[in-house]
Amino acid sequence: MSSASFQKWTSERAVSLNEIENAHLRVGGSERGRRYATQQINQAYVALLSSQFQGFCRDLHTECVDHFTVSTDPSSLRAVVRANLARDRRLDKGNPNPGNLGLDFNRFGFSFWDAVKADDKRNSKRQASLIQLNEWRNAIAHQDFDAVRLGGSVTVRLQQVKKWRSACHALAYSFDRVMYDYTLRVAGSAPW
Amino acid sequence: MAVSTSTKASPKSPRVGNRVSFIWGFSPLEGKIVEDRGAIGVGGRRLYRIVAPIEPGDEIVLELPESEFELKEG
Repeated sequence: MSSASFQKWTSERAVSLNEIENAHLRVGGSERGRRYATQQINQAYVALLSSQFQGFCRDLHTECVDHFTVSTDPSSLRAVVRANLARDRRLDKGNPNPGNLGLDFNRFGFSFWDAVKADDKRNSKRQASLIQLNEWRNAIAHQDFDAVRLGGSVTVRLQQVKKWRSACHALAYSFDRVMYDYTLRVAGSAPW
Repeated sequence: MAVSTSTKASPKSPRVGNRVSFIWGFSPLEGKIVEDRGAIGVGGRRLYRIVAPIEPGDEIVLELPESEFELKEG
């Protein structure tokens, strides 16, 4: 059983991402015109991927806060615990980069990224992919393309975005599992 | 033929913009729903993001299920 957040990631959020990926295949026209159009779609795909992943992470954080607080006793303290677990949450406005994710999820009382990396040894490389994705997302949002910062190119290919999406999916799966295990240990009951 | 004009009032569902009251520590605190977070709470319950001022320049933000706050009139 997975969290409601992960279920939404694999359904609603995936549909949204598939739509923009399919748009890439439908672009026709002349050689030069098509290259420009597909680059715009690829950039839109990057932005959407980052925002959907941010949405998933934010949802997962919220879901875990609810599970952590449901058994808080006395009940008069539940609101206090909730507010402090989500105080100044980076994911409410910031990108889903490793720094923000760590700051928000570490609030639960552990080293989030240590747990994620222990869950799957490939997660270190996926964390690096997440950094790259966020660099590109920022470049697109601010229209500031620096080839050095962007891995050597100011053109993003569909193949690269698909690799980032694959990394995000694998991380989402790990995040779900890590938070399930940790919440079960701390709260004493399975969160989902 | 007599037509019934009575209608059953449906319970009000929380909505963005509603003013609410919840327990903060041992006292009630008032705030406003700023976002419907969807059914991502325990057992699929709906959560609502609420902003509540504590004092000038300071506010708290938290996400509560309907069972932990009351809707205020007006």
